[in-house]
Amino acid sequence: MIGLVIVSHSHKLAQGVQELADQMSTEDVTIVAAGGLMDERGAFHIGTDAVRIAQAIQEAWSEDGVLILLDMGSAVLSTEVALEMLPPAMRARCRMSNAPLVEGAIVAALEASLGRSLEEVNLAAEAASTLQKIAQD
Amino acid sequence: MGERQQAGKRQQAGERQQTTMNVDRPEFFHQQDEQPQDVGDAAPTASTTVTIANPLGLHLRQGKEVVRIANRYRCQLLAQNLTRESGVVNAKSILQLMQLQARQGHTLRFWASGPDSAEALQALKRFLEEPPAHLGPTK
Repeated sequence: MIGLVIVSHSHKLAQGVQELADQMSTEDVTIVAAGGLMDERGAFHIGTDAVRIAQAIQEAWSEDGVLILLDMGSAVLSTEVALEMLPPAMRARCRMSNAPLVEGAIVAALEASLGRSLEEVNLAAEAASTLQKIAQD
Repeated sequence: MGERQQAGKRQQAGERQQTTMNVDRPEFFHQQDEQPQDVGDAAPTASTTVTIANPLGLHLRQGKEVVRIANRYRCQLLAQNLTRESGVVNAKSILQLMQLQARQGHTLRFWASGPDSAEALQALKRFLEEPPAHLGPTK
């Protein structure tokens, strides 16, 4: 089973997405939230933190790989830095997903729990970017 | 809506399905199902209809279970919301299943093609008509 990491500028948003994704998944899929920027007093602010993201990847680590879902902007930049901190063998089994964060995490969590590969899960999650939510009556 | 009207609508939807949907087209199916599967004849071989009993309709967590059940079978599984006259979607994809926007009382049709079609349809019908308590009407 692959692992999932949720990266957002907001600590609360990442936690909320993780909570939702956990509902779609099973216990054998590890989903770790890495949202927000912590100050020296332990309070969270809006931002992203490469060190926290790297730790989250290690926490979610599986030989099958880790899919990283992110909001946008510096979430991508911080995740790139986080990946550079990891051993090359681990980095090689991590993918940043182009999927929309919330819908992508819902799909990825379910697909991961069905035992799909890293590439298959990412493909299914990225399909969420063209999702028509409202029925065309 | 009267029984006859509903039957008429279902027939209409069926006709529309025949004229606008070509389930033989490979691009019709969700990408993740492009992996080789032994599905035999591409044309649907069996179908069943289910009326959604849950007051919340086919919601996300229930949809997740439908996808989980559908993925236990090797056959290809398609679904359509006859009440909404929706398009035909892949029942193994949560994204597509949610597009049916099935509310309580809506009638869905499931098609299956492949070796274990009958078992798959029976399992889906059983789950949707008698959902387990934690996914049932009270939540």
